[in-house]
Order: sequence, then C-alpha cells, then structure tokens
Amino acid sequence: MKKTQPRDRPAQGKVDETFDPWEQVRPVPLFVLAVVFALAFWGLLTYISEYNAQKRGLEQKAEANLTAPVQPVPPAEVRSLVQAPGTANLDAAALQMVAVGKGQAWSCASCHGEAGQGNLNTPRLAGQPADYLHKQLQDFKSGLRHNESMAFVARALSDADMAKLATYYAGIDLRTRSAPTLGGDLARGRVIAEKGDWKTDVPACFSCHGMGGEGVAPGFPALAGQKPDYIFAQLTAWHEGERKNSPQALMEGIARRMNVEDMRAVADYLGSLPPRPSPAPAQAPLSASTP
Amino acid sequence: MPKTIGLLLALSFTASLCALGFLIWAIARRQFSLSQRDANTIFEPGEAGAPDDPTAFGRPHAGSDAHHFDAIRERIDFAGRRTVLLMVAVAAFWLVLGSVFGVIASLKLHLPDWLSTYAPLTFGRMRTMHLNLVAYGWLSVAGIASALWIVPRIFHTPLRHPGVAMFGAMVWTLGVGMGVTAIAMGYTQGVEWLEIPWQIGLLLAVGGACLAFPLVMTARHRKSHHIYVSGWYFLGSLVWFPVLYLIANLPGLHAGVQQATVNWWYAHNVLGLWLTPLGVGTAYYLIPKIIGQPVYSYSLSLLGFWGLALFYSQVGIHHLIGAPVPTWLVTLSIVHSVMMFIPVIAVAINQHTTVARNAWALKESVALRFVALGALMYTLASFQGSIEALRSVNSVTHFTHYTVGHAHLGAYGFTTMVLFGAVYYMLPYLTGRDWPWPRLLKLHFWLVVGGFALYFFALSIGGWIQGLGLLDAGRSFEAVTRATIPYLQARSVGGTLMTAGHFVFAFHIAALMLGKGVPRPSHVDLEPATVYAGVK
Amino acid sequence: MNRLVSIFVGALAILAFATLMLVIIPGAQIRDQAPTAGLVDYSPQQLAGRQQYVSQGCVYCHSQQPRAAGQTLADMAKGWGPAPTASDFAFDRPHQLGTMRTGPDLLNVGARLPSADWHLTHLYQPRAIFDWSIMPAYPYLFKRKRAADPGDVVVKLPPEYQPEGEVVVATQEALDLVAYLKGLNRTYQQGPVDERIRDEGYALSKGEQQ
Repeated sequence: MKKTQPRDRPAQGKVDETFDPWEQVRPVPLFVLAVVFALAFWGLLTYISEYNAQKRGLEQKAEANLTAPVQPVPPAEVRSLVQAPGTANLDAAALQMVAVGKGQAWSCASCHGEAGQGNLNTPRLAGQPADYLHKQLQDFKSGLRHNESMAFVARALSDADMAKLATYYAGIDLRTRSAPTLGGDLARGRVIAEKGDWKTDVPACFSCHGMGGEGVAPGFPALAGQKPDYIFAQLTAWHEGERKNSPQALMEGIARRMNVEDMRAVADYLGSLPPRPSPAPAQAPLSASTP
Repeated sequence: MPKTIGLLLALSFTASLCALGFLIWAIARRQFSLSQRDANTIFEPGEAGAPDDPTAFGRPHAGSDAHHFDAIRERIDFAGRRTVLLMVAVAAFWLVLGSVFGVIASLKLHLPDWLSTYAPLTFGRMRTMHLNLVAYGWLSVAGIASALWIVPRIFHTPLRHPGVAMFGAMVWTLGVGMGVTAIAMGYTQGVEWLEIPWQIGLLLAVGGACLAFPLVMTARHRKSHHIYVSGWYFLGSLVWFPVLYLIANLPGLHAGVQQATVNWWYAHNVLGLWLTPLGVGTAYYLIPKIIGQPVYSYSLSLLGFWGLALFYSQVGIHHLIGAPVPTWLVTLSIVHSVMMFIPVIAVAINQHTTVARNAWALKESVALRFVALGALMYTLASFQGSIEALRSVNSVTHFTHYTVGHAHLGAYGFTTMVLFGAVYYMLPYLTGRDWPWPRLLKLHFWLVVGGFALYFFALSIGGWIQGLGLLDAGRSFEAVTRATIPYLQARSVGGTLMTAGHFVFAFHIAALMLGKGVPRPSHVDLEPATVYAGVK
Repeated sequence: MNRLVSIFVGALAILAFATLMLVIIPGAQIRDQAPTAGLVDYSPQQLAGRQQYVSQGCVYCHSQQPRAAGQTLADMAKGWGPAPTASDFAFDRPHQLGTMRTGPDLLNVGARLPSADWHLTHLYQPRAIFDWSIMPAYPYLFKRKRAADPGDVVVKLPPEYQPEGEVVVATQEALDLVAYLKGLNRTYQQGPVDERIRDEGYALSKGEQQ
C-alpha cells in the first residue's frame, strides 16, 4: 500500500488537541473490488438457483404421485361412548380416573381424549392390549420408561388402579383412524410395514404387531390407527436411546437401524390403517358403531 | 408464483448492483474527489497530527498555535456542554439499572424459583426491561450525546439550539422511564424491540425530534466545506430512526406474519441504521483524533457508508429463516447479509489499519483502547452475522443462545465499548477536569473485557450445542436443556463482571461531575455563549 | 460528499426501497391470502388469555413456528406439529412467532397437551412435573385458600409442592391463559401447496418440494 503522505512518526507522549480528523485520498483497494464482484456473483447465483429450484419443484409436484392409494379418511369423528346395556361390569373407579383423575393425577381423558383416541403425539389408548398398557404404566412409575407427565400420573396410581385402567381402555372398540400428518411416503411405509427392509435388518412391523397392525397381546401394541406423530416420536426416541423399555430391547435395535425418513413413512402409513380389535381381548368389547 | 419471485429478486438485485456500480464509477471518475485544498479546509490552523487524548496524563502541549486553537475549540463545545453532560449521566444510570436487570434475568434462567413471586420480576418482563433500558436508555442516549459533541467539532461551529436538545433529552428520558415501568406492570406491545406502548413511544418520537433538530441545524450552518465521514453516519441515522420508529409503531396497522416482517425490518435496522452509525461515526472521529493520523481512504469511507445503507437495510428477515414468510424474502435477506462483508471490510481497513500502524497509542490512551476494541468487535460481529445468516449455519443457531451472544457482540462488544471510550474522552473537555482515579479506567476495562469474553464464549458454545441438540430427532428437550445450564451459569458470571465494570464507570462519572479531579491545564475559563448569539 | 441534501435524500431513498422490499411487498402478498380454512378466530376468553401470554413475556422463551420437514424432522419428532404458513397467523395481534427456544415450540400445544389441569399444574410450578425445567413459576396467577369455594378450579399438585393445609386455586387470568393455550392448535389440513406462504429454502436446496 502506497503512502501518499510521508509522515514522521510523532514522538510518543506529545498531546496536541488541535488535530482535526480527515480522510486521505486513496483509491479503493483492488482486493475490495474483487470481494464486491465475487459477492455480487455469488448473490446472482443464489437467486438463480433458487428460482430454478422452485420451478423444478412445481413441475415435479405436477408429475409425481406421492401418495399410495389410501381409502379416503373420514374426518376424525369420535362418537362418545354410550354405556350399552350389558356392560354393567364397567368399573366405576376406572371411569372416575378417566373422567376426573385421582389425587394429583389429571384425568386420562383430558389428554388422551374422551374415547382414548389420542391427539398429535399423545397416544391412542383405545383397543390397546391390557397387559401392554399395564406394563407401560408400571414402567412410567418406576422410571424404566421416561416421560415426566406420565410419571406424575403413575405415581398417584396403585397397581390395582393401573390394572383397572388398562382393562378399561383395552375394551374400547374405536374404529377411527388417523390421517397421515407427517408428509411421509405412504408407499414406502407400506413396504416397511409389510415386508421390512432387510438390507438394513429392519423386519416387517407386521411380523410382530399383527397381520394388519392390530397388535398382539401382551407385548406388541396395536399400530393400526395409532397417532402418526406418536409412532414417529417413539421410533426416534428408541433410535436415540431415550426410550429403553421394549422386551428384549427389540425396538431399540430395530429403530437404531432405521433412518428417519423411513420412520416418518411407516408412522404415517400405520396411522392410516383401520384398527381392528386385537385377538384375545380381556373382555367383550363395547360396540361403538362406526361409519 | 416463481415468476413473481424471480422478478422481485431480479429487481432488488439489479437495483443494488446499479447503485453499487454507480458508486464505484463515481469514485473512479473522481466525482467525489477531495482535492488537497478541500482537505486543508478541514484542518484548523496549527494542526500537528500528534496523539491527542486527555486520558493520557501529564503530557505537555505543543506550540502556541495549538493553545490559541484550543480556546476556539472549547467554545465550540460549550453550547452543548450541559446537554451532553446530562445525557451522559442519564445514560450511565440507565446502563447500571439495565445491567442489573440483565443479571437478574440471566440468573433466573438457572435459578428459576428465585424472586418468582412478583410479576414485574418474572423473566419475561425482566429481560424486556433490560433490553429496552440498554437499547433506548444507555446506547441511544450515550450515542446521541456523542453525536451532539462530535458534530459541532467536525463542522467547526457550535451546536445550534442547545436548549431544544436539552428539552429533547429530558422528554426522551421520561419516555424510557415510563416505558420500562409500563412493561414492568405488564403493559407491553409484545413485539421484540417495540414493547414500549405507542402512547409512551410518542414521548420518544418527540424527544428524538428535538434532539435531531439541533444537529441538522448545526449541519446546515457548518463552517467546514467538507462533511467528514462521521457526519454522514450521524445525519443518516437521524433520518433513518424516526422513519423506522414511526412505521413500526403505527397502531392497528400490523398483524400476523406481516407484522413479523415489520418487526424484524425494524429491529435489525435499529441495530444497523441507528446504533451502528452512532458507533461507527464515533469511532471514525475518535480513532484518528486520538492517534493524530488521518483515515486511510476517503473512497473506502464512501463505500462503507453507502454499502451499509444499501445492504444493511434489507437483512432484517434473516431473523425469520425457516418461518412462515415467503421464500424469496428470506433469500433476499440472506444475500444482503452476506453482501454486508463489503461495507464492513471497507470500514475495517479504514479504522484498523490506522490503529495497527500506531499501536503505541493504545498504550497511551485508555479511551482509544475502548474505541479500537469496539471497532474491531464491529468487524467481527458483522462477519459472524453474515455467516450466521447462511441457511446451513442458521439451521443450528436459530432459536438458541448463540444468537443472544451474537447480539451482545454487536450491541455491547462494539457499540457500548466505543461509547465507553467516547465518554472517557469527552468528559474531561466538558468538565474541565481530568479523571480523578486513572486506575479505575483500567479496572473498568478489564472487568468488562474479561466479563464479556466469558459471556460471549459461554453463549456461543452453549448455543451451538443447544442448536445441534434441537436438530437431533428423538433427542429429548430435557437433554438439550440440561446441556445448556453450565453455559448459562457462566454467562451469569460474565454478566456480573460486566455489571461491576459499569458500576465503576458510573461511580467515576459521578465523582468527576461532582467536582473531583484535577483541573486540566489547557482549560480556558468558559465564557457564556453570548459571543455566538449573533452567529447564524 | 459535501451536500446535506444528497445525504438525506439518498439515505431516505434507500430506506424507502428496503421498506418496499421487506414490508410493503411481502405485506401485500401475505394480506392477499384469507386465513387458512379451519383457522378460527380467538374467543374473548382466549383473547384475554393471549393478552396474559403477551404480558408475561412468554414469547421470549417460546416460539410458535415449528420447522418444516424439508429443514429438519426434529421438530416433528417432538410432536410440535406441521410447519405453519402465513395465513395461519391471520388473527394474531401481536404476532408471537418468537425467536428463542429456551422452552418448546407452542404453536400446537393445544393439540399435544389438551388438558387444562395439566397446564394449571405446570404454570403454578413447572418443576412439579419436569425437575429439570428452567421455566419460571407463576404463583401470582393463583390464589391459596383454606378450602375451595364452589366454582373454584383447584390445581392438582404433588405433595412436595402442595402448601400445608391449603389448596391452590386458579385465578381468572390463569384460566384465560390456559384457554388460550388449549386453543393453540393448527393441525388442521393446509390449503393447496402452491398457495402456502412459508420459507421453503431448505427443501429447495435439497431438491425437494414440500
């Protein structure tokens, strides 16, 4: 850099209050001009590439068929439970806990819905195997399954309470299913559910969870009609090691071998399946008729 | 839809490029040339270019010309003297109060049950009171005070209408006080940086207008032919802030996501077109003044100013990357954020080369240490900001404590440090006395530098870790939160050190203003400004 | 540059241009859209609750804008719900989009946690549920009494947070705030893809379209 004004180095220690700041006349350094042009060029490229990507995206959407043919899903109507005649053995204590709660525990219905249908990532309880539900409540209480809100609830429940609630929810025959909410690839989800992905040692969900995902008591919960956000959350939790209570650590292993896009796909697909009553229910199901 | 987007982006890009191209062409064709004659008009007779700083003690003065010139100079300071002193005192008070609130807010993040019984002390209000006090109380008031002191000096004529400025300062202070009280009581507009209810904001608008008016009048009646670069920044900020404040605060006009775009157009422009010019303008004056060397390049200062105006004004939406706003708008802000490298490099060359070539001056002058460090932090904060706007980086840092660290690097590491230096430099001239305890300057320096280093690194590292955790599907929110705690605790320690430094600063100012300190040898008996009553 | 007027005019012109690009054009684009079908305006109680949300400064820790799958699946995995578009916020005055996630995103908290009693417990003392939580407690939104009066809503608390011999009762402010939180549910079906206003930049750079 050229000095335009030769200047003696002022002696240190001299204070002169009269110096008035001014700007020297010097051209803009070449390197700065280079930066200007480089950034301008980069900016131009960014705009162009985004414009192209948007155009391409819209074209792709027009062509691609992202959704596998799925039965039209009715809006999530939940018929309130009607106490049909012949169900006098419906446990009053269970109903009390479900509707009002117990001690410090909030009412089950206040989160899980009037008919145990679940919401977003709060799971559907209706029609789950009773032993499975019972074990989960015990695991929440002991801390083997980690969820603070459920631990708060489980601490207020005795083992007898847990058994009653499990039986209650297992007996609800709710036929509604969930619309896919995750934007997952339903065709891919179907493949994993029915066949698995043996390139990565991921077995078919149906090989354990029932031929239609309806669950197999006592250990394998129903997946058909379960909330997709819940399934997805659980799969990622197993993958990360945040959930650790599946028998033989089966789900921990499987989830760890899945990639997150497949989890999303399978969660959406399973949620969209029509639930059926599990085999060998704990008691005769209430018949809540469905559309 | 892509056609419209493409058109909009093309429009913006073309406009920016044209403006920049025009600027470069104009510089190249010497349209803005500054001849030697012009340059000389901005020298006072008797210029010597040796280092000048009242915080370097016990040094003799050069030449009889300088002595005569001194008297003139001090009379130029005189008109605005009371206003500037009042504003510095008020600003220091807001700084101390705002810092204490900041420490309280910080402590609550890892001691959540502390002081939780009273609504005004809840984190959501404490944090807001902290922000408004330091932004509109400390930074704005000290920044305007600095402008009120520097502008007459660069224009070689006393401040016009100092009474109006004094009135404006009082109204502004009232507005800040009432605004923060309102927030404590729960009356807030709920929009970041715009929480003060607009009815009280009117006080800020009126006060601000009363502070701007004298500066514009002084500029109109300037004696120097050339407008020095600091003048552009101050004058620019005077037109920018009112427009921003008015549009953003118009009641009933904004809602939903449209309001979010206004929110971040406003908030980032308060940083870039209000606080930054106050800081850069101050640094542009003080660095050459204290060192006694001119600024490196006039063309670079032009590029820096107009580049700032052009690019900074459109970066605001980088606070909304990934949000429900149009994609083209986000991309526009990201590109402009990266383009900010240009004006920041220009200013960096101008300011840092001057300091680097004269490192001896840093030993002599504590004020210069503050200003030069602040200027360096401006460069670093801006580089960091440009990079943080890139989608790949922003994906990690968005919503985390990292952004808070970055914000403080700019507002504290840069603007606050420069203003510390400005206050330490100005006050001996305005009071006619040297600082009573020079060691306190160094104590203040090390407390805030050490404290802020801890603050910044704690939040940057903690925030980055937090961001990576938030992107990990399946990682529990508990794990992410627990990971941030040690960094939040470190930030509290850093913030406490900084606040201690502010107490030292405020105490020292109070002592000086209340009469302590040795009278300065160059002090000429200040006569009333009747001498200039007839001057237009 | 030695003319005042050129500085003022130039500065204002540049800000005007920036305002056009950042405020006016996007504002027109956003305002052009009707609120999403399925979005319902807030009820008076929810509005009062929203005022509480604003007044307590909840926005400084909580966002209301989950990120799209094109950017990350992490938000979805936490049950924060689908990424919103601009027309989902049509009734928000002021907007509470938020820029910090010291706490979780709340746009769909009404779907994820529809229990009013849960929210009352959590607001009174977050650490009653989450021992690691750093969220402030809001005891001043509640009253402590010897016994609940008819019509009072009693907060369910674990023994370690239950005051001796007293019950904790929600004030109207707390109930309003909870009503607002319960109403935060944007999980309805979105409109057609081409009409959604949101930042698709991440998806675009990966070569996908939402």
